[in-house]
Amino acid sequence: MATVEQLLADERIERLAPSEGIVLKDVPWALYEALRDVEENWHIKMTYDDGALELMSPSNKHESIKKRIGRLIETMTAELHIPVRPLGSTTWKADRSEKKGGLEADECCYILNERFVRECEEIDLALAPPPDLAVEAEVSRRAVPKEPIYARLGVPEVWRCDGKSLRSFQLIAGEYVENEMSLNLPFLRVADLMPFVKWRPGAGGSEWIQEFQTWARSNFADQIRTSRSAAAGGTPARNLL
Amino acid sequence: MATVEKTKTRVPTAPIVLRDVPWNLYEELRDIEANWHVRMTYDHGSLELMAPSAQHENYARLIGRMIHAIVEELDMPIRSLGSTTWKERAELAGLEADGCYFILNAAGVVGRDANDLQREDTPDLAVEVEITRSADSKMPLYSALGVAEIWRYDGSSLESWQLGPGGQYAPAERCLNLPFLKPADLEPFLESNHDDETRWIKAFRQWVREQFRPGNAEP
Repeated sequence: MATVEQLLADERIERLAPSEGIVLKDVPWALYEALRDVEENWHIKMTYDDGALELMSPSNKHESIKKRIGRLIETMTAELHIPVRPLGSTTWKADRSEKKGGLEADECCYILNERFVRECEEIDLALAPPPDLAVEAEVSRRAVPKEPIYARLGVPEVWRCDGKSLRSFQLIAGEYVENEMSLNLPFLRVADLMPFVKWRPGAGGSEWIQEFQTWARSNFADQIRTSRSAAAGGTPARNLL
Repeated sequence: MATVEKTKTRVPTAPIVLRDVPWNLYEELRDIEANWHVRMTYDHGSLELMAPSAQHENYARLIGRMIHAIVEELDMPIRSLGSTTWKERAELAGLEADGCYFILNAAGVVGRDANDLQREDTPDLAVEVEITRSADSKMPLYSALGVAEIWRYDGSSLESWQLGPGGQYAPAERCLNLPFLKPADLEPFLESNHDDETRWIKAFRQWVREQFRPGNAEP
């Protein structure tokens, strides 16, 4: 039986969409960190925002969408000779302000700022810029939204895929705003990747990737020429936050 | 403190299992009051987190109502402790049942504070609703805690599992705490329509009177 106080405390999470994971509340930051540090649990996704902690075991559908998008990004950047540092589901922590947050993206990478992390094996966000692009395969309901955490981290671009569409959102003045063209790959209309993300027989096999390579080469031939003479040096590109 | 009963509409989710969790981390997580509805089962470093579905909680509640109806009709003492956490640090075991009761030893817990009971005693009967997940992995924990009888309900059959001398549980035809009762006899009541719970519980009480208080069918 719940007390009235407990019910009132529940309301914040109750108002959020019901989750397919487990949601805990009032979790101290140190406790989240201690749970996250246990290596055995690397496959459990943990999203932490100011006391709320959502734990999720990813589904198969989730995993295959995110892997396909990851492969497309890697293939495209390789084809076009664009340097990329993929970081998969590394944990990112926004712990410098009072409202602490932590999460794993489904996929993430450095593209625009790749050269500033080129020399680092471990990435320390106190010294390095945040990842340039995070990908969220949103096939399950989440109670703790990830965008506020991405905004606090300063991640310039987030792609969201719900299985039917792929959309790019860019950080402008602390909010994510949808944009047709990618920020990190400015020649790319992000929705154009969706036909390659959708599952079909052979998706994941080499034919599918070859089809994609052909498509990328024919559509973005001038990118290959441009990226070969990319400039070096300078300070990290930072979006207006 | 005012108390209210609330049935939450929860999306049924699979439990999350974390491994290699030290005991003190489990305790710290469990102690956070805001997470009272999340079931946490701790077993030697493995920590399972589960949010029971509405259907799960409903069955737990109905079984509880039936237990209370039986003891009330038959004037038997009972102490119920709901989904209190039972922990045994030496055994690295911790869990919540879907309902737990002192019946056989109800006399022994008269006048004792619930917190003391939680620390010092073991319930006589625990209820496990198994529609979200099987309780198989919890049985060794119940054994470590020394709970004499577990009622297990999987959505169709209700069974009484009783702790044997070797520390293993085995199903029995009759209950331990309510020896006149065959748990299978309660199944039709769990399967029937509960839209009008008043009607339902009254029919159940009538059945209890007829079965166990013959010649005394009227209250």
